[in-house]
Amino acid sequence: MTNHVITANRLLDGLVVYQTATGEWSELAVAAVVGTDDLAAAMELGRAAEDRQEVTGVYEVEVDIAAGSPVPMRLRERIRAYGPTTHPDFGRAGDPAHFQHPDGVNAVRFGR
Amino acid sequence: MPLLKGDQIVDDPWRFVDDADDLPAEGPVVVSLKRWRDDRDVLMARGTQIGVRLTSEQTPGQVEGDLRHFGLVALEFPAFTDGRSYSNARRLRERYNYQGEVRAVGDVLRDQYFHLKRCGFDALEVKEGETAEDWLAATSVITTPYQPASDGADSVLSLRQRRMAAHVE
Amino acid sequence: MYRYDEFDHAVVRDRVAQYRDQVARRLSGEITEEQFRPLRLMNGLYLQLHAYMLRVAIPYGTLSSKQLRKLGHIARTYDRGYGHWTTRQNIQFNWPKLDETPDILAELAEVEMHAIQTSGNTIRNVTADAFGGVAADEIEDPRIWAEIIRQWSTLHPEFAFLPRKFKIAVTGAPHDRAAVRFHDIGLIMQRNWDGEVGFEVLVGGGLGRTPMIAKTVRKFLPKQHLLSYLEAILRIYNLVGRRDNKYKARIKIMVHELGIDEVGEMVEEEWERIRDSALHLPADEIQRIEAYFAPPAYEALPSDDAGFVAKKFEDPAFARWARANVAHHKQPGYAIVSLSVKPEGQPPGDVTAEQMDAVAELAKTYSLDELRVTHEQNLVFPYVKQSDLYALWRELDALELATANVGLAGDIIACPGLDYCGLASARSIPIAQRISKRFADLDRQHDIGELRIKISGCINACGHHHIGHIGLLGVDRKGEEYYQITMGGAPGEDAAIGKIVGPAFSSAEVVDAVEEVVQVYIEQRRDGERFLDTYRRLGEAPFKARLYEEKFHAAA
Repeated sequence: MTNHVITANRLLDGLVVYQTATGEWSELAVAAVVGTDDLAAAMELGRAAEDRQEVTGVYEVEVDIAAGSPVPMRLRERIRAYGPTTHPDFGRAGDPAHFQHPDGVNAVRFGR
Repeated sequence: MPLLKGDQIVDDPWRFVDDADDLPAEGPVVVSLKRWRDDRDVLMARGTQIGVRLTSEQTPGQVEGDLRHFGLVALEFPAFTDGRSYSNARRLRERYNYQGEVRAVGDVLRDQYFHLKRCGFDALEVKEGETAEDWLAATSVITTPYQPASDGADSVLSLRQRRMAAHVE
Repeated sequence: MYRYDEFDHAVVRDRVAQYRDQVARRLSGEITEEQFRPLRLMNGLYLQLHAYMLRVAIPYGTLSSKQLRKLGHIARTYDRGYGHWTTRQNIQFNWPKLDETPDILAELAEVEMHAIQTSGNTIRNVTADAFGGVAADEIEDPRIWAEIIRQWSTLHPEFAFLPRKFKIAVTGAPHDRAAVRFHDIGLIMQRNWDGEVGFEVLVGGGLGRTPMIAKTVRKFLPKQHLLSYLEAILRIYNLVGRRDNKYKARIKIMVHELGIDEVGEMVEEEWERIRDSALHLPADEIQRIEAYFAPPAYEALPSDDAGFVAKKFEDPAFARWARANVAHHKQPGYAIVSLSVKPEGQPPGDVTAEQMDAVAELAKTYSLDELRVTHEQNLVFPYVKQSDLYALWRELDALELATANVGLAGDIIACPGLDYCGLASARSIPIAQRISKRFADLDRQHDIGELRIKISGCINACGHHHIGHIGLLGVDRKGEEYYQITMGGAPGEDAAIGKIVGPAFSSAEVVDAVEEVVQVYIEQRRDGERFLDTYRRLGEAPFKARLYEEKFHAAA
């Protein structure tokens, strides 16, 4: 059985959001993890939010729940969740390793 | 659906007839290019107005010789992102000097009315509730466009020209 | 530079009002996302990985200091304090809010700027040589024609729903600094036998999935026919271009599939019918636009400023900067200065709002109020007196905009990549940063000489990797980021598409691989040869051998 969260972009500011158990939209850490059986219903809920002009582009993201809270399996989805790896200033709480790079390159903090 | 023609909401006298259907006994009819080719004599013999409906893959050039028989040319927009009919409308007006009705049929949003009018369309089906005022507002959303097109309207280019000529005088 | 008259102002004002209404209809649900998307794209608003992204047009890359100050204000007020210069001479803001975008456009309109047609299946920003008007080798300032084309193409009602996007570039010199051969239409200014100036017209160039070099459709087109000829090309493309497959919809595919001769016949046939229409450009209209691009009131100066020469002897760091970042100007005593937006180890092409304000001030003081954006994501001051170069250098250095690496290994072009872009397969910015850091030593960069490294995070090639001397293409291999290396690409009059040198390298290996490639060049080069010359002389064999057969891969 694979685990998913439902994600979208908030219509007003385009920011990445995740559907919670109560149908609200928030950070990944509080997203509702949905098993295969409940996926269709969760997507329905998401599309209803689209119809209410709250969010746009609803889709499901596969996550790993071994660590307790959901972690997206694909790099692209981790970047969506935690922010651009080059600019931690624009990121959200997540694994600091997300912003680390080899070859002594540091992620940029603005106001350099 | 109400018909907008030449800045007014009017009754639509035309009837679109599918290829498989019989022609009605009387009244102006619009047929596909194929039907026109297949049943040309029958259509001409009816003695009423004839219109042709072109898909976005077809061009007015394919009926160039027959344009004088058509009171209406309908150009399709299968999706509003398919912009071929804008070029076909312009060719109808400018290359073939077609004076009859050029109607947009299919998927057009209010935001394309500006493009339609400038390219020489003078008729389209509007949504229930849309008024002539909506059409006028949408088609004048840019007061003076930069470039000349098929509606004979002033463009920035022509207005600047006129102003320069006036200065010289 | 061009200044809006009341007609230009009215167009952008009307457009802002139209867009404001469209946003309101989206927020109320009157139109769906599917209906709204093409409309917002026609005003340059994308929805990307993290947020909306607004691409503001900088016509042919020319900006006044006042406009730059406004861009800084927008970055500060509506975004997160910075902007990104693109490979088409535009600027991108990565974090605007949808309901604020009409206000952003209204503010831009105040300084004669807009975001019209910076996206969508429309005619996009017309780009031109960033040295236009000041290059010693130019026949005529290409920006005059870029402005004429800009006006004709803006809100052109027939070409708002083309099969795909359409990009036009103009060069005014035989040495092509605008990469015109990789555009849908490329225009090369020419003189004919009578000394008359006109255009060679090329069509069907492009990058992306299927890179192609444009082909000549007309060898000489007199100026007054430019717009009617372009209209003929666009009409044929609009009618004949493929609409069944998004990846086969550019005009380059049409030229490839039908052949340039057939395309040429269709265009000429259409053009014959419209050449004497209202699009025939009258001489006085051409002159009216030309007047905006007339040379400024230069001072009469000696061709070599003694102070500049002396300072180069005294200060080796200044000399090094002058060697890489200062180019020859057509006017005696003046110079063209490039501002490197590629500081060591930093994401290429980003400037903060504070830097924008400071650069705007410097442009006022040192460059007659004007600057340019290049398609290689740097800035240019086009009107600097040689006697001012030392002072300007000190100021730029304090702003981190004086890294002496223009055209060298550290002057990397990169798309935003997977860190920002929803289309990407892999990240490109961190790779650029790592390569920049690996080659940080400026003496080493100067020894290597001209080397253009371009990185794209996916096959759409917005980083222009196909025309890099070394190109990197990010690919996704089973969830891991890998990078294909191409070599021998060239954007100019010696146009060439880079060749893939072999299997892709992992993210961990790719920077070493690039260094090995450069090492082969250092070992094998002959006197005066740039990297590209050595590659052309030797072919890929020695580079391939080093990367795949010799110690490099064995060690990994």
